[in-house]
Amino acid sequence: MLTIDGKEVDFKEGATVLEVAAANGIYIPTLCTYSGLLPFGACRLCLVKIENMRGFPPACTTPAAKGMKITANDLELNELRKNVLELILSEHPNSCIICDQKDLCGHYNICPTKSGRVTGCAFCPNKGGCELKQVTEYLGIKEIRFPFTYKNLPLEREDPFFDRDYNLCILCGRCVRVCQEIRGVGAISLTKRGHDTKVGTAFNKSHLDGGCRFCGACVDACPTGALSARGSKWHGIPDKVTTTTCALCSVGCSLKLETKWEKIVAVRPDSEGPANQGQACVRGRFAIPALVNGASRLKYPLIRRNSRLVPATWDEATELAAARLGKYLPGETAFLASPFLTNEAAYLLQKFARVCIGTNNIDTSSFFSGPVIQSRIKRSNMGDGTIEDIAKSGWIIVVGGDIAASHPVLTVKINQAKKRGAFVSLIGSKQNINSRLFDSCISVEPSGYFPLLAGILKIIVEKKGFDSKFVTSQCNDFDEFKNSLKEIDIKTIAGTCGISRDMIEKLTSTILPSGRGSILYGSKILECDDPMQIIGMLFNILLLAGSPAGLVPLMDGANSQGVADMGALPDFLPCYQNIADKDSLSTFEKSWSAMLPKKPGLNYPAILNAAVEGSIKALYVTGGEIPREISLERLDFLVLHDIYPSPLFETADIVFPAAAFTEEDGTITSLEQRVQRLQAGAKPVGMSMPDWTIICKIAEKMNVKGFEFSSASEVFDEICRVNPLISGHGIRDLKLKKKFTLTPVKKTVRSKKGVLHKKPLWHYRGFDLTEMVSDLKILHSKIFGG
Amino acid sequence: MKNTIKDIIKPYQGEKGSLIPILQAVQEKTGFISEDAISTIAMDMNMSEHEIYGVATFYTQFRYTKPGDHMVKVCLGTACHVRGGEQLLDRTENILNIKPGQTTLDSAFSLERVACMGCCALAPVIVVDDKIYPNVAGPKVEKIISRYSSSDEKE
Ligand code: SF4
Ligand code: SF4
Ligand code: SF4
Ligand code: SF4
Ligand code: FES
Ligand code: FES
Repeated sequence: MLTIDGKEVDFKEGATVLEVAAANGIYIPTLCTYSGLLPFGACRLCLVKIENMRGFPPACTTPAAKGMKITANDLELNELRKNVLELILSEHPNSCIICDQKDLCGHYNICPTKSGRVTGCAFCPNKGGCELKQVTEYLGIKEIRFPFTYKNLPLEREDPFFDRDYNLCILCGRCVRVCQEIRGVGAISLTKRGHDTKVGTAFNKSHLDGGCRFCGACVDACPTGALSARGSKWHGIPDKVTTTTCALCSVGCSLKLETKWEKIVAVRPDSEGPANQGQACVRGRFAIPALVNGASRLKYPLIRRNSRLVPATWDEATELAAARLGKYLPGETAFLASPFLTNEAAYLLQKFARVCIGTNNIDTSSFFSGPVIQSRIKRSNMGDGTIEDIAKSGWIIVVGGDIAASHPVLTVKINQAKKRGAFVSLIGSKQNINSRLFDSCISVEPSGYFPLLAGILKIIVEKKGFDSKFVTSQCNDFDEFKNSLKEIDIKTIAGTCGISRDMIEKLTSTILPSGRGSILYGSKILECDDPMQIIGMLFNILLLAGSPAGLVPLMDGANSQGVADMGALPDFLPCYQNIADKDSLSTFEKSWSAMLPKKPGLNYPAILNAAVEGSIKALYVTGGEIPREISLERLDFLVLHDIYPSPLFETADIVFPAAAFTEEDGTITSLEQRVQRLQAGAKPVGMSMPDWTIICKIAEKMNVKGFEFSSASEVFDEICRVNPLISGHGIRDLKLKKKFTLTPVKKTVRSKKGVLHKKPLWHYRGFDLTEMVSDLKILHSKIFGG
Repeated sequence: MKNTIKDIIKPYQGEKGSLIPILQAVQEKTGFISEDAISTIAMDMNMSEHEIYGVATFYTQFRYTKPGDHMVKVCLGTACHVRGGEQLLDRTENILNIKPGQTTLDSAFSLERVACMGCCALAPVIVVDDKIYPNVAGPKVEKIISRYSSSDEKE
């Protein structure tokens, strides 16, 4: 209990005076406080009076204590705060703030705003949401009694993505602290002292050279216009803001799309996003407008006539597709579901394949999805770790993935775990960025993963330091597993992968005593002889640590998870109902009122092979994820959904223009199996349409019933109807399974060499984002060379 | 270079709050704090180079360029200031073509501004290496500098 402005209130131990005030609806102006950051006490705006304390302590740094008598607002404090703010403003372009015509100005100034220098709010890119202006208005500052000094610092515009004008900077330190405390990067700091203090980098390096990741967190944290996203700084206040989910990687960050003049002009992270809590990465924050507004977006359907692709109407194109698809035997037709499709599109695509064509030749066009999903099915453990689990882990291992580049927001979670004392190790080739993320790096090629992991398992079992209570009560096949380790000889491991017993012991010593942990694994494991075996071994490590929910696959497509959940798999119906299982099959036959093919279809690699050999004659591709080295010459018929022209245009017979994810409603499922909504921030460009609509249109032309949907949510309703497990929180519920199984460790040699498709690290559907967004290319070549 | 920096910081390893002593040791042994030094220290302390730089520049005692053969200090203490210290600094900057804290390309001179050398009666003063030159008004400074640049003469 304490009193604040005469009001008696309760408070939580450890809260600051500012937090107690806020919790009780008492406003205290602040500038340097920012959600998620430690108190800093730099701006001195939050000064309060506390009985028996000398002077005016800042509310943001003063811990609340029992019996405190606090004055949060009175005339004296208001005067004091005005003084403080006037001092701050004396070094900030302030003519507009105090101009008594400013309200009119807001109405009548017609964009005099493209000058480089900001000399007042009318010229400032921040005018839409300026905290400094809000506080000035709150305190009612009408004049500034101190002489104005302009710092006359050079504008910093050499780096990609955002501009910096430190003449507007009030040195609140929010950008520096966000970069350090939340992102764990520390690409900027407050340099020098006194009057010369400035946010900067070591030796004035460019951000690019200084290791900045261009996540934009600093731009979002800045209360002034000092930092501004270049692409969107002159658009002013958006007409519309739409919350959606980022479909550029599988983290599933929640984003706010800002629409102006019917176009997406800017994107900001949503502070309420369950996965990202206000964070994003360079792709989500800066790349989306350029990606979706490109001039060469496909705007109308194309059909091949006299060996050339020519524009056609939707009617023509869908009719042609229906007619030609009907000509092939079911076994000669195959479907590839892009891991960037929405759940609705993926569901309808597999339904189309099975009901309209009668084939199970459908799979996700990702080499990584296959082993991940199969391994889960084999383990009967469909649910893996959540993103929040990562933050709470006592230890973390990242295997075979460049996580800071591929799934940047996860590093925010790893950073949180680190702060709580987690030891973070990397197994794999040295990361290109952010080596500070890792406490230890075991540098080993994919061929060394097997011996290394075998060694880790062996030492864990040998040392008996594992969670034996968990293992005996929850795991099957411990003895078999243990016996399989007999073959493993630690001494020879060093010979095969260069890792000594010492190093392995060091690693295991970080795992065993630390309880719950997480293992995040990436697509490098595909280069191992038996990726499934590797996943099994990683899961074994977690089981031995009593931490079965800690396995996180770094899925390569934004919706790899959902596309599989929806049954875009050759041997499983939606929600992993086995085709070989008669009951499942007949349930779906009933709900879809159709006969379904019983024979499992071809998987992704097999479909590609069959297309090359000519046994697949018709191929339906959604998003162009076909490796370049695959020759489709023998293919008879290729249908393509795409958003831009792609190399597949050479072979495609029909191209349907698809809507980008910012232009459609629907759902996608993140790597933590969270089903999240997409909401359109703009209309599909030209005549393009969401993928699911395209599929329905073709089905209609084929006179097949069951595709009459007028919205994505109607499709989602059907998905939930045919399998109630998919409602709400995804298929996590499937996890409620019997016991876990420890996989015996068995060395296998890759039987036949499959095609390996190296996707560009940053991609959307088949497209390399660095080709679409020039600033991304600059960043990419800085990080990876070339 | 890296090795010697590593050697210098070795004794401090694992010590919390040892950043300032480390920086001091590096400056003492190598004469300045190089980019290399900062990145080595950063690696060692698991901090970013920018954080280290931020801390270092908060203190005025560190320099970031290799000192030249001769150190030129221009006094801007109160007495020197009122008697033309600023102009003296301007002139010196022009002659050497560098700003305070920098070193000429041929590594002959470094320039620094200082506050009061304790001989205000002689203001404005300039100090080259350890020699104090009094009442340096007008073009006098050119002569002084040229004395050091023409040959290796050190007084
Ligand atoms: S930062 Fe805010 S107060 Fe400053 S010029 Fe921009 S809009 Fe005005
Ligand atoms: S963009 Fe991100 S990494 Fe770069 S300085 Fe800002 S917060 Fe740090
Ligand atoms: S740039 Fe913005 S966030 Fe950073 S210190 Fe200046 S005002 Fe604060
Ligand atoms: S981390 Fe992934 S989901 Fe989040 S903003 Fe970046 S690309 Fe989008
Ligand atoms: S908010 Fe308390 S000092 Fe800035
Ligand atoms: S002010 Fe220059 S010597 Fe004292």
